[in-house]
Amino acid sequence: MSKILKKLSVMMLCITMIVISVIGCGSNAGSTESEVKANEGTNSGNDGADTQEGAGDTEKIDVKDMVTLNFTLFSIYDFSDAAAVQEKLNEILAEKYQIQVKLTFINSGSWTQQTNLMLTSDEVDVLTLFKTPLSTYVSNGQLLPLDDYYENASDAFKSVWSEDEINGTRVNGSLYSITNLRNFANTYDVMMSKEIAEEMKIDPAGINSLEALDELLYKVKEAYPDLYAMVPQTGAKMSGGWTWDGLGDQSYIGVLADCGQTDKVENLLATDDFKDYCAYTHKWYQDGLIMADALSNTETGYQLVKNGKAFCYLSNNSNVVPAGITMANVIPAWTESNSYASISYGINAATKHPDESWKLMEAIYTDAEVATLLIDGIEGIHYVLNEDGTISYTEGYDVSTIPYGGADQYWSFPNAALSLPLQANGADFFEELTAFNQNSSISIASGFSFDSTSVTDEYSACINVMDKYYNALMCGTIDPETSIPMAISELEDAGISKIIEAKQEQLNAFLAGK
Amino acid sequence: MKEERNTMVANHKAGQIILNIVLAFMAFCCVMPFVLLVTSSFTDEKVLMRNGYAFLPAKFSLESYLYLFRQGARILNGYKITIMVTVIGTICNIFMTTLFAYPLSRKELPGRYQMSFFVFFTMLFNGGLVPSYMMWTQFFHIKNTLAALIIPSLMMNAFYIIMMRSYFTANIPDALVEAARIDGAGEYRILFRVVLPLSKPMVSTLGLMVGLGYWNDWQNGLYYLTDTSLFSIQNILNRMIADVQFITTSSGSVGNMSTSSIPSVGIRMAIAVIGVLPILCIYPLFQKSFVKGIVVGGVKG
Amino acid sequence: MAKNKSLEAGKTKKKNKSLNKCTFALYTMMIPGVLYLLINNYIPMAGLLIAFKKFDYSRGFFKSGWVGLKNFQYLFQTKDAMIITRNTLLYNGTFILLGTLLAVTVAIMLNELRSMKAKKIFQTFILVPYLISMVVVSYIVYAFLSQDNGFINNTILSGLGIRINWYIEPKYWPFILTIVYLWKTFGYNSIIYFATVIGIDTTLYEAAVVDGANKWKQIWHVTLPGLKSTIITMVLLGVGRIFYSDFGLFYQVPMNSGPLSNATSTIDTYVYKGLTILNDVGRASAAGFYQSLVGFALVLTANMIVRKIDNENALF
Repeated sequence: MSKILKKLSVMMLCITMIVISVIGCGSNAGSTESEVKANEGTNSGNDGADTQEGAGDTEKIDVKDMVTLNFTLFSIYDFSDAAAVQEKLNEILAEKYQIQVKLTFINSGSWTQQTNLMLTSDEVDVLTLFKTPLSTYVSNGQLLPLDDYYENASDAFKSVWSEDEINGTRVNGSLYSITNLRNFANTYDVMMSKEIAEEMKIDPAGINSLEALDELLYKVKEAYPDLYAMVPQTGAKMSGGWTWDGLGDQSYIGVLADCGQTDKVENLLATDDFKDYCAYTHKWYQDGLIMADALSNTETGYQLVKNGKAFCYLSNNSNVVPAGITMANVIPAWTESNSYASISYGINAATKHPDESWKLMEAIYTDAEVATLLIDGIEGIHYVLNEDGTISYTEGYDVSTIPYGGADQYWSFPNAALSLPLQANGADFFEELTAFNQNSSISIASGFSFDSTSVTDEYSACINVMDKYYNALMCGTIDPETSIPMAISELEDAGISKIIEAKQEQLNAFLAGK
Repeated sequence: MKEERNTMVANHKAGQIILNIVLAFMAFCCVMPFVLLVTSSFTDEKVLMRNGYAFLPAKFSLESYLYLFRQGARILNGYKITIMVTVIGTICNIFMTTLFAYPLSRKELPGRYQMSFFVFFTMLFNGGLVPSYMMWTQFFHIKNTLAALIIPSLMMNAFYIIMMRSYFTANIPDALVEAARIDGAGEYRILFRVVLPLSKPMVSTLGLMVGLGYWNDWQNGLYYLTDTSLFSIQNILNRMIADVQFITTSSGSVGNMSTSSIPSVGIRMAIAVIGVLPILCIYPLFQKSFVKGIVVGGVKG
Repeated sequence: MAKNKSLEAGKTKKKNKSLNKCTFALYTMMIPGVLYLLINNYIPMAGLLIAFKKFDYSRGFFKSGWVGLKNFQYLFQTKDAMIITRNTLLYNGTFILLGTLLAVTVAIMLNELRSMKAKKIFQTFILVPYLISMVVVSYIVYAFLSQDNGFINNTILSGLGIRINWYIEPKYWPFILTIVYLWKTFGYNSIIYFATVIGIDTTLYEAAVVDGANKWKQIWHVTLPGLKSTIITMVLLGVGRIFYSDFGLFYQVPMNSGPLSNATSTIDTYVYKGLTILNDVGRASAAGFYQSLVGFALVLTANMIVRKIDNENALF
């Protein structure tokens, strides 16, 4: 008897396994059928061009037959109310654009892993392109070329971006994504503890160079011997860059020095900019001004200053000054060559609905109703409108508890200028942002992206070498006099000259074509 | 004679004392860092940052746990999912593993070495994440289902099969199996009636290891789930750490006083603690079956 | 004579028949497992071919172009290739050796312990390190080794008047990483050995006592042989994974500190660092293929050796 029972239970398990998979199969089969139907429905009478003004002049498609696009966005804050926002969004999209959308927010910890997997099939249609360099997406064949769509796009769309900004996301001449609104330029500043700055009567305008900083740090160390005078911006990163243009990525293998105002590609470790920087930080390390364990640091500079452990840190995230900090500008605003491409929106090459995906792109970049909904959420539920045209989070909520945190994350959305600014940022925030971008100095190589397929092996070897030395040099933990020559020779062994040659060649071709 | 016995007993006692000391020292080394974690999770954030970890919290604070408590619903859901996945997964795994390991341990099975090789080969060669992902999501459509946390890679592992097999080979006397066969029992009956009862420690070990595997797994959730309501506790905890880090590093919002009070370091410790405690509570249940097996007597001759 | 022969023939026929019935039943037992391994492991193994292709997402797996051995070059490109291979082999070799030694010793010690309560308590405590994630372990290590606040610098060494910056001196790290590895895994690994030891037939011990063996002789002649099969299996399994390394241990515990690279980089960390920006599936797959191949060759060799010495305990 029990033998039969045992046999039965084994059978049951096998059946359960099969059932689970069949159920999974079944539900999806259902949806693919309806998608096919929807495709057939929208294909007739749609020539893929101008659709924005055309809302309503093509035959009315039933909502059930509309294509549902998978729109995946990068998230930091909580977006648990995405479903509610999605519903409202779909009402507008159905009426104006005859498409539907499914919003998926993936947060930064899982971003790269999950989007790469999603791009292996048609799981996603439109998505944020972030963290991986644009040229890598392109060389992996993950993106749909957008040239034709852009050519035939509406005037409203074409007026959103200047030619330079559009060219910023071209790779090998073809357009693969559209950039988004954020601060393209970076300033590099010293972020000091407000308390101490006020006590020592420090004039921020006077701190405008590394020398001035040098003087200041020694003074502070004398007055406050228990504090670290300076700590890294975050983790082991002393500062998120400086005056060198990485020409496509942040591994800095072959750079343009002097904020991109030269056209000579060099080995970063051989440039004077870098050597000067490291000489200072090493001096500060030896004299105990910089935290000794910078390389194993896990906190951010801001936290360390806030908690009274440090005096200052360098930062490039400084278009908004955090509480308790006095800011002093050292390097004025400049735009790196890959700045436009560092966050953008594109279409999955494997999508089954390219035309509809482009329609969605148009909607999110030109339609204020869509943008506000997408970024700020639903009025009354997620925010309240103030008299001056700004918004505040609903009563009792702040950025960490609001279930739709887009407003604080405007810099990751397509076109935040169409949305409403937070009260804390001010009513003219987006105008100021645009002005800030326009008034910065721009690298000569703006819009250039390096195609590394011919030197991938050397690249990965060089990245490993840079990883050994870069942070340690920037934090001053090792002696530049001895380490820089060592690092340079290791880079030579890894093939950096081949990379620099290739970069220079491609850059020259790019500049000639401009 | 009595003297000999006394020395033997004395030796025994001395031996036991030494054993106890050595093991106690090892146990201390293992637990001490954990105690550090616990005390850090109860320490005020500012003090933690300034002085580092200490065995006695200089300034007591429940802030980290309060933060977690506010996320209570999510965490409870995470536990629910993890418990479900662990229980179902472990039971299925034990069944499949023992069913596979038993035939492999029978010396008279033709093709035994080839089948062992078939199993072992999967431990060495792996197609990688992308092909597995493509297969599971496109053919089997497990994305965003509970099955995604149970089936891929964890349903059965070659390592456990081989471990089981080696236990069967070493500890189940052939004579016993032969005797049962002569008595007319079928293989299934032998497995369930004769072999398994003798293998309690190993089955228990298997259950423990597999259970721990499921409990600690965060990768399947990372690859196959975007629906947060299906997140296991590890996914939720990982996500919270990432979230907290970003919220405290983002300087996007001016005057955001509340974000500055999130105890990021303390939270990491608190999260580590609540990840470990449930297991420590369940472990004694497994230990009960770590008893000496039945005396396998009566098989002589 | 003829009658005897036919009787015997009848007996062997019966034996064969029952053996066949056994075999059949045993094979049916393996069906669910075989099915699962085929689906979960063998079908995706076709993906190993990506190592020889340039994977183009838009063309998909089958239509991407072949590139021969190009994806493997980056692994041997640099002088670092020697270092990462050396590190991986040496660390894993040490881990297998010392890890097994420690786990077996602890298992035997626990078994010899008389008090049930002590046994349970110690066993629970030594499992705790395994449950702590590697990231948290890296914080704990930092708490010990931090230059300013670290436990070691502040207590032991301040007495001697020296301060070591642990995170920039590579020479200490082979020891540090080995200790961390052993600390984290010995409790978990000892469980298998403990379960095996418990299963050893007690009559064997009784027989040994009758023969006048003291505790040490008992362990040598009864316990260790009882564990032999398990130890060999575990070691062989370890050898098979000898080119793989625990990413958390080598990347997170040293806090990815650049100067330590020569002592802490392994094949896995090299591949990870080199490919995060490049996101090249083909090259990542090539690395995995390379690691598997070497492990496979080593295990085959080791298995053959074990076969020669002790046929029963070979893995396959």
